[in-house]
Amino acid sequence: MEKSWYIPYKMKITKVINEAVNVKTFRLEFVNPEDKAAFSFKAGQFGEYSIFSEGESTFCIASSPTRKDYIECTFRTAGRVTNALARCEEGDILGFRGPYGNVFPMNNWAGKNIVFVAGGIGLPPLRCVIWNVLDLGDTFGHITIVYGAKSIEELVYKDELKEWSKNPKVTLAVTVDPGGENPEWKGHIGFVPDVIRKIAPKSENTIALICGPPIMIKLSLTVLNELGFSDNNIYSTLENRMKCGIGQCGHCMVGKKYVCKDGPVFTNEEIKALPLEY
Amino acid sequence: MLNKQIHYSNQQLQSWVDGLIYKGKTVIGPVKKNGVTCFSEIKNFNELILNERTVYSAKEVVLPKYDILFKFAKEKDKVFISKNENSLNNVIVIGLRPCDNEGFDYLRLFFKSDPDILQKLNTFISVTIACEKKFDGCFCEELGIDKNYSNKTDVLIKTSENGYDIYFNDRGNEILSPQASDVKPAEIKKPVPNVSIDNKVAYLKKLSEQYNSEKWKIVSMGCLGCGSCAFVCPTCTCFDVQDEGNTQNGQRLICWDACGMGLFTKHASGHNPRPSQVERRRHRIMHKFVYTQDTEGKISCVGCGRCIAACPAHLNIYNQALQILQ
Amino acid sequence: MNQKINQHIAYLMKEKGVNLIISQAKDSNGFVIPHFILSENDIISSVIAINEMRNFFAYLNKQEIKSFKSIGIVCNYFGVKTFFQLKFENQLKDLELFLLIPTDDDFIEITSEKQAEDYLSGLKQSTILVDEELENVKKMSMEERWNYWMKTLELCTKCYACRAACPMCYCSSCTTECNIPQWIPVPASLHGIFEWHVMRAMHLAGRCTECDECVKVCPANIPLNILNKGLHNKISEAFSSDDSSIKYALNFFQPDEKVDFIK
Ligand SMILES: Cc1cc2nc3c(=O)[nH]c(=O)nc-3n(C[C@H](O)[C@H](O)[C@H](O)COP(=O)(O)OP(=O)(O)OC[C@H]3O[C@@H](n4cnc5c(N)ncnc54)[C@H](O)[C@@H]3O)c2cc1C
Ligand code: SF4
Ligand code: SF4
Ligand code: SF4
Ligand code: SF4
Ligand code: FES
Repeated sequence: MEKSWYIPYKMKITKVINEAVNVKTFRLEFVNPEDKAAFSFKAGQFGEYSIFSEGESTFCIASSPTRKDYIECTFRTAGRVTNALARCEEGDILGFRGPYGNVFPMNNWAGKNIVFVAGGIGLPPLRCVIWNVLDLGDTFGHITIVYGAKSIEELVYKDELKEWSKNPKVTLAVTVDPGGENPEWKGHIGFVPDVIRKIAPKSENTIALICGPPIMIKLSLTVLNELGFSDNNIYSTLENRMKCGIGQCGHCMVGKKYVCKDGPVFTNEEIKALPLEY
Repeated sequence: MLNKQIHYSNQQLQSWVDGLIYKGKTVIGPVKKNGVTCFSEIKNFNELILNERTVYSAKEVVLPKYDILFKFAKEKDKVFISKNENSLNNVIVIGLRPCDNEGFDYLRLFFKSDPDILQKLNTFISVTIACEKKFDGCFCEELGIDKNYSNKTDVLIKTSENGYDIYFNDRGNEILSPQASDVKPAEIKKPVPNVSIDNKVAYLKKLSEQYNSEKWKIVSMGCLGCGSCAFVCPTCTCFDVQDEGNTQNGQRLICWDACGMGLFTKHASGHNPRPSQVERRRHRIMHKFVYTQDTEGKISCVGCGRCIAACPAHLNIYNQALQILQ
Repeated sequence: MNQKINQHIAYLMKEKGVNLIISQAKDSNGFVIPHFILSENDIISSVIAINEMRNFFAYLNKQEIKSFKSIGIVCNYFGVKTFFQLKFENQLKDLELFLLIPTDDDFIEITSEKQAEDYLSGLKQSTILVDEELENVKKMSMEERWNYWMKTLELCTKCYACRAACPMCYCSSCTTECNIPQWIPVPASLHGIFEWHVMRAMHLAGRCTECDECVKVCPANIPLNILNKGLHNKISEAFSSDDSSIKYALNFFQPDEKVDFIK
């Protein structure tokens, strides 16, 4: 009989990074070399990560498809599975099903500038694209990254932020909410939408990607529209409750659309056409 | 294609079923369990309840209320996974109704790319009984389903003078193994192309224009947010994925879930995209009559009326759809 | 409902600012169903014997219904009992309720705890509940009982209709929904079913109003009332029911409870 859809790959945790309070990154490597050889994914896709005996949880693949030896996920502890995951250590075996969902249409973006807007735990899905873009060198134009969190402690990928800030191809603006700074803080202070308005990236020949808490997305979209970005040049990912990841369990439906199959990547134009069920 | 036909007396029908069981076939049919009519394996013909609609539809033969996907065992830094094999080889499901068949037909479309479920759906042999009368709340005919006929089955039983007319296809032939001399070509009742049904389907699709109707508030007032309607429904497919076990071994299961329940869409953050029964009831009605027209090419309610009987408030999904459209 | 009640409903809506009446009706299949009256046009006459009537107090747990604030509810004895118990548990806050209990060709109206108490004490029955099925179960040996419950509970699908229809199951987050730790296994396996019903029976001990809604709505025909009535009798026997200081035998609520799922 064919392999069931629900049988996961076995993955070994080879690296654990404590990103922020309640946020960790796991680097996962395939236990079976055949699985690794057969596996490939594209930026924007996600998977079902599981601990045997606790269950499955949905995270995006936060590493770039250009890094082929491993996949990474960054997660915040929220409930049963994520709490159990947080207790895992290097060497533990997890389950992984994927990749699922659609992808960012990066092929259409060659030569274009890209603006990334992320808030809090919204950076992981964009980080995948950021590294993908940077690893492909001159394929794309200039990169602007606006990233904000409540406080300095809650910023994720702190080392990578430093690395990006040194890259001449990248304009990086990191911000924390007022009160979240400390005396040494050199970045911006203020909310993400205000910072976008301040650094005002050009909208000509530019694609914007946005991911984060709903309120941040809503306000940032207004600013992006003001700056001349049209809704079909703004991409975002939706995050509905998921169980199967493959359009069968019904949990993620927004009207007749399945976020897991028809998404999670949507243009803002597409999102506006959906019923408000996300 | 039900291209052949034989006639059985009451006695012959009984000996045929008992004979199948004797020959080692697994025969599943409607029985009474604790006063509830539902599909279950039988050990002899007399257990069968053939004059009632089951409370739970026949979908549970293929999609039981919970099913093991695989078992796992953990050992130091190794995990062993063994897939749970359960096929419906050698299984005969008897006492299906035309609505059950329509339900299976939809499930075949919906699960077209899940090899495991599709395999189960295509393996068992189906024996259907035509309905002579309607049961409480049935409205299959409103949706263009002939309660007296089904061509989506391997064997169709219809009561006739002193016994039963039995129509069958090649798969049916295998389990009936009739004497060649008893077999006649079936007098096929041609399904009449029903224009008014196409109109009905198009009319129901207009529900999508009523997505923001205030009437959803009224039709959802009686809904208490349980899983009854989905669990008895032949075409509700939604499920949850759950693990059971301890740090050494256990199993991963799928189990029935329902969009009527508040937890169905609730995020870990507490945000709920469908925050009240208004949105949940709307989703159910829209999914049955509108969404699957686009995703699977047909409406997914087969009019069996089971949800109406099972609902604590006996909400009538079809009347409510019409009420919204009025 | 009868003419007198209907006249009064019209009066309540016109003069008293009541904007929702949860009445009862029979549908074309003979099922007793809730009938929501939002305006005088919705008033219909229907005949339902008093012992056929259902208890629709569970609707008061729905936020959409609560928001009507001033609500009339047609009920029988069990509705009054539920009203009294819910008041006692400090539920029904912010709600103005009018209970309408049909009598032969008239009705009784109850709006306060005091009236409910008087009504109930007028009908005071023995605290030991008698039920044919319960008597049968009590006669069984331990092994027979175990088999009885295994046989009946096996059919439970965990649709939670019993909980949804139960006016006393009002917690905004049920123990079955807690998953750290997962007290009650989610799948409707015997293990999960058994724990669910034992848990629910414990939570209802001494609070269940014996309206039997859970039994009426269970598609699997599970005699849940036997569990609750059996437990009720055990408590009545163990703690003298005349002792009014004992209000709950197995549950204890405090206004300053740390958790907020009971409000
Ligand atoms: C496409 C997609 C990508 C995601 N990427 C990330 C990521 O990169 N990092 C991250 O920290 N989180 C991400 N999430 C959210 C993450 O899936 C949930 O926080 C997580 O499932 C909570 O699981 P739990 O078992 O610990 O929580 P519990 O509260 O125990 O949840 C029980 C079940 O609810 C569901 N669930 C609860 N909340 C959510 C939610 N917000 N979204 C989806 N399902 C939910 C899950 O199916 C879970 O099995 C993503 C969600 C989606 C849909
Ligand atoms: S419609 Fe009825 S059966 Fe369905 S969820 Fe609502 S109350 Fe339950
Ligand atoms: S929605 Fe109701 S009537 Fe329609 S198929 Fe499902 S159970 Fe039957
Ligand atoms: S009606 Fe609800 S439970 Fe049934 S298949 Fe559709 S989404 Fe799933
Ligand atoms: S209503 Fe019946 S089937 Fe549903 S959860 Fe309760 S006992 Fe189980
Ligand atoms: S996650 Fe199961 S259908 Fe989308």
